[in-house]
Amino acid sequence: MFFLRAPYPAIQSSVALPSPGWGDSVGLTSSLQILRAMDGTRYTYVHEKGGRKRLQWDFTIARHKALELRAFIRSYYRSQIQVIDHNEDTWVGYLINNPFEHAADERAVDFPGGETMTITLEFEEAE
Amino acid sequence: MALRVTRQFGEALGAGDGSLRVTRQFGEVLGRGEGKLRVTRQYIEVLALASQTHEKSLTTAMSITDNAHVPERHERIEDTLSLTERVPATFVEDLLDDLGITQTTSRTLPYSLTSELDLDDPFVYLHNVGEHISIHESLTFTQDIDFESGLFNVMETVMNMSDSVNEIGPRYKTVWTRIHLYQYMPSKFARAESTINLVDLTGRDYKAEASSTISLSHDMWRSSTPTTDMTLVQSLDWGKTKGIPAQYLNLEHTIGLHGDWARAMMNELGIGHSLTYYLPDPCDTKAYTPFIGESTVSDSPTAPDADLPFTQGLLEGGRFLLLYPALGESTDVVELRAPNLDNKERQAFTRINRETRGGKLSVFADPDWPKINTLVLSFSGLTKTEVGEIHDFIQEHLGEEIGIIDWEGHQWAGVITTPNERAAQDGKHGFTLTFEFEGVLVEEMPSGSHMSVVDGFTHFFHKARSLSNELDLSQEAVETVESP
Repeated sequence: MFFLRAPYPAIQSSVALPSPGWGDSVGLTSSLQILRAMDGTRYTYVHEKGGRKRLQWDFTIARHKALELRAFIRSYYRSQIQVIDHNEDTWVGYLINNPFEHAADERAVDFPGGETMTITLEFEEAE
Repeated sequence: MALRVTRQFGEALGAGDGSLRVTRQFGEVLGRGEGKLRVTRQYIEVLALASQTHEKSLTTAMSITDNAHVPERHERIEDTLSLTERVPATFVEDLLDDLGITQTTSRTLPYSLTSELDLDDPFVYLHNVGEHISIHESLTFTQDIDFESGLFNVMETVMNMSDSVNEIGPRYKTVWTRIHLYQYMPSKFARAESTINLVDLTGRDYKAEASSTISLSHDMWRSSTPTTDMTLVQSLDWGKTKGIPAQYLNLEHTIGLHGDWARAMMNELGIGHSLTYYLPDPCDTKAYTPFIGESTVSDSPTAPDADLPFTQGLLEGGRFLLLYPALGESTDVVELRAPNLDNKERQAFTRINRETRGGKLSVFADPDWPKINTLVLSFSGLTKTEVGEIHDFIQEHLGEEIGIIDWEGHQWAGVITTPNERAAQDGKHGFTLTFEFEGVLVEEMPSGSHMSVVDGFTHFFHKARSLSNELDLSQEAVETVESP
């Protein structure tokens, strides 16, 4: 189970999504720049960004759930949201996709809406 | 000798003892006569009189005794009061009146204290000795300035009182004018002014009373300037006392509060509460099941709609349509089959992402900034004719807003942003064409742009003996959006 809750911290709305597909990722947002002097001395310039992490999940969801997610994004694209992922980890940050792309992939007769859609969510911690 | 022609002249020009009179005598006999006839001219002058009990004129200078009783008969009584003002003010020694006028200047500050007192009691005729005449005028001026801070202040009290009695007869007449002015200024003030004009006129000497009583009271504890102007006129021109109805004019003006200066201070602390919930259900990850709680936070975004936003599916026999114009009655329509699967919808928002020096991510977006929806649609199995119709449609309305009825029955309004996409022939009779469309759902467009609702209200009122009201209400709703 995967939850998107917003706006944080005064949470009003919750969206329950199925667990994302394989290939979800998490990583730091820090950056490093290396400069080398003429005598071979190495200088590193880092931008730690507070140790914030960036995550990405791929979802395959029913058409109706996609519409619900579409409405959620439209309401809270500029708000902090809380994510409780499939590993029960809690994250607070922003959805940073631009644009959000909803793709209708397959027919799914038994699913609400008759289709399945895929969407990728990119998320970055606020601090 | 009967005839006497005589001229005598005698003068006594100086005062003598008790028997001497200052007298000038002159006698002439101008002709003769017979018997006792005498033609005589006599002239006698008395050049000086001793003391008399009746005096023609009596002048008393600087007498303010207001002692109007008449023990002796005087034709004229005159009082003259002269006040000499100095710094500090003093009075001449001969003044015997205690007027209570004190002028004091303590320093060389630009003070100006002025008191003018004019009392005029003309007493013209008095027919009968012993009649009681009483004229009272009482004036009390009080000007107190306790503290002078250097500002220019003016305190002025001007009172003009005139009581005129033309005739004193056996009839009783009373004329009263009473004015009480009281100005009290405990603190800083801008201006306080009281002006009262009382005019009582009675035309004839019948017993009549005209009374005007005015009480003006201004209580000011703020630097405001309330103004009260009152003019009362009672005129009795002619007629006897009886039969003239009394006229009473009572004006009562009560203002309890001129303004409310209550200062309402409010601090909005931004305290609110929010609530969300989740009800486990096997379908909550598939169906449209948003869990919308409540929030009283003022700047909280608008929550998503709790209901499924659209009705799914085309009407029976309906097809994918390209329309022109986007709204209203269509003049150019292209019908297509439904697009292939793998169609996409892109939601793009205008946002500003910033990172603080400490690494905190801040995202800001004004809700009025553009939100762009883009549809990526791919059509397969098109005939050559359909490809031609699409190309003609795009060419004809290039850059113009067109409408789309999609495969789910949703209406969109926007523009085709990829007019130069080529149609590929991927079968013997089939073509595939892909284009991108940027627009918005018609349901998300601002209300009122495609529908106008007019309420008309007409009210007729006829003035006639038989009153009637006609009320015509008309409501007209005009919908300009028509699905083809």
